[in-house]
Amino acid sequence: MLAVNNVYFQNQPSIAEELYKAVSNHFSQYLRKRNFEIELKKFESKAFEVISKAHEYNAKMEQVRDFVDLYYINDVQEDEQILNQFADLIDGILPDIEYVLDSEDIASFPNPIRDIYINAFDELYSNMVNIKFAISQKIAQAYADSKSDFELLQNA
Amino acid sequence: MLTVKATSNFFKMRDKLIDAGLFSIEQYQATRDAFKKNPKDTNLRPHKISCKEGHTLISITILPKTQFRIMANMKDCDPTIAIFSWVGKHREYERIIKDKKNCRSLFVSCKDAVNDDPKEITPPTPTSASSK
Repeated sequence: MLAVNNVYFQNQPSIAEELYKAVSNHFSQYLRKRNFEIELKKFESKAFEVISKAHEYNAKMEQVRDFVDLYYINDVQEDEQILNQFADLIDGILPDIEYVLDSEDIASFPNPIRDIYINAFDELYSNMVNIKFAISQKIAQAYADSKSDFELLQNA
Repeated sequence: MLTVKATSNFFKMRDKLIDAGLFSIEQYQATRDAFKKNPKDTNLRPHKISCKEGHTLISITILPKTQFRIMANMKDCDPTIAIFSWVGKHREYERIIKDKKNCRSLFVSCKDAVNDDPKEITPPTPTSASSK
């Protein structure tokens, strides 16, 4: 088991790179405000396509979350860079998801599609916010656990 | 006084919110200084969140009464240091504290946090620090 873990820890950076590429590619293709602006207008014909996309991205986000939860911090500064790329990616997408959740166009959607739609994006939003938080905690706790690492941080 | 540091990602999040005009650097500085003086300052509306054994998260509001919150990590065994690790909208903060995956233990209100264990989040007085 230890050997398996060691291999896993050594491979963390390459796993992170692969996962990052896959996730960022997914999001850049579709789930952005510019696309929503078009999709929300022709919602009726596209409803289930948009909803299934949200579920698909949510599944990707679950993968990222599991990866972050299992991530073992070896070198806090190096690992901070690896994990922060996911936080940055999410940070860039969150306003677009907020746009969907706050869009007045949704109010005109027929129920129950509206509820399914909002739930899908709500879940995605929560997942993304919580991944960002999990990353922040993983890093902060690693810095707090070592006096020398704590000294490396800038004053707030 | 409490030593407060921050992660690089915290500064990134903070600067993004400042650039968007959601709060000012002066508001941030006033909040940080109030926290340094007294993490239990009621104006900061502090909440204590227990996420991991040995670590405590203190959540504070950016002054004065904004909808933005900062999370500060403190170690239970060392009340002299804190790390600002997260800053964001109250909307995001609500998602965080409701998520059972994050913080399996309880979310304690400010009032309870004060009564829980004052030593945990009280910075040492100059007398106690010099006697060490």
